[in-house]
Amino acid sequence: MGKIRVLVGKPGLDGHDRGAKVVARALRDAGMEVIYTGIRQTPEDIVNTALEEDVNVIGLSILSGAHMKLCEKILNLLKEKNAQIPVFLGGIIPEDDIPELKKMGISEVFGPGTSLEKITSKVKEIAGDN
Amino acid sequence: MQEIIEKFKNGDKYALAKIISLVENNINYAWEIINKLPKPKKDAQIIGITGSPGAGKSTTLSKMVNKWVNQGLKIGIIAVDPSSPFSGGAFLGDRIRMRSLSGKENVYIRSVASRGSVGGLCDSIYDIVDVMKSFGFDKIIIETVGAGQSEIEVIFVADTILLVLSPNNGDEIQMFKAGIMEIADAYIVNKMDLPESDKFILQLKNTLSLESDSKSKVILPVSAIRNEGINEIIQWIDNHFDTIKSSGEYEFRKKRRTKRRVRSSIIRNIDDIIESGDFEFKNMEDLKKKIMNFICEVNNNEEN
Repeated sequence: MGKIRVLVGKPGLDGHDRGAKVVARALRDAGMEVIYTGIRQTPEDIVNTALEEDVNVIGLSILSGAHMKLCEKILNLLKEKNAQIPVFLGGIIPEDDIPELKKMGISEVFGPGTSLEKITSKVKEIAGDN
Repeated sequence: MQEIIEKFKNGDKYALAKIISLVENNINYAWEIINKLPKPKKDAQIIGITGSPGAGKSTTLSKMVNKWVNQGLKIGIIAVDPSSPFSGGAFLGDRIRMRSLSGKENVYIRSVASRGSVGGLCDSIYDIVDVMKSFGFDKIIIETVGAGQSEIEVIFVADTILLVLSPNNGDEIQMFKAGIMEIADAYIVNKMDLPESDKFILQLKNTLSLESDSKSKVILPVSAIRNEGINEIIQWIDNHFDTIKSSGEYEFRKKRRTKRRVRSSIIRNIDDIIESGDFEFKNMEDLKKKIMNFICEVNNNEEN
């Protein structure tokens, strides 16, 4: 495998992308090639970009509270396209939702306050499994 | 592999993505992979867009591509951004300016990291262009990294070279400097909505009039954000392809490209050999001879 390629994007309508940018930057500094797609992406945008860019892993940041619907839609689209790309999630995600998100197929959820070291090492691990 | 190639032949963009990754990650075997692909049916125009960071390359490109797609053309885009000399990672952010192209059937965008290449592109660029040609695009657009004055590799790769400038790019002294200011077939002056833009155009005209082939240099004023001046660019680009084909310039550029490509490939092999060898440094000339002998030996062994 060459360099790990990661898509970092924000599906849905919240326009606060500080966190996504900081994580993208940390992944860059950990040696990964990060395709940053920014805010207000539809699930179709995210999946289409992931496949066009042939990424090893997708990172989503959601603060709007719509994470259940958006993640389900993105995971279903990936399944439809036969794409086995792991997805991790960050943002404001209630503790109680995490088991269900993982059951749905989300590889990892990083809440606020997770160290960047933990995120980068975990993302490398997730990408390596792909 | 065979399955991916079949999908590639059927026009599957995601198979194209996989093949590009293959050539990018196996640069020494790229040619073997390219050879398994269908021969290009179209003579795609390769357009290079360069200019300093923030001049508006991606935004201008996105407006141009929208118009071509509306004409029914298939467009491939390679957007290069720099890799970190420290971590080897990269932040590839050009797609943000091209959101209107996302999901369009006839557009394929690939973000590429420079991976240590210093000419404004990446070492795999010639291979990626070959893969895209085989896929059957009408036009292939290469956007360089935010370029400095000597990052001019794009002149070897593209048929048509555009330099995107903006009125806050500096004064006439910057225009007199050699390097990137000389390589363009057309100068796109973006951000014409800014004050002082007319003065900038005048200075650029004066500077270009001093060049020996000044007649062939074109200035195209644009405000990409307001979508103004884009029709003029795409008309000029379409005409330029016909012009260079009838003047012989197209063939000249093709030859120049082949030379550069083979040189890059050989230099990469030499680099690999020097990196893998364990050479002791005492005398420069002796060391050079030793390495040259070593390279010949390695090549002979590979041939036998």
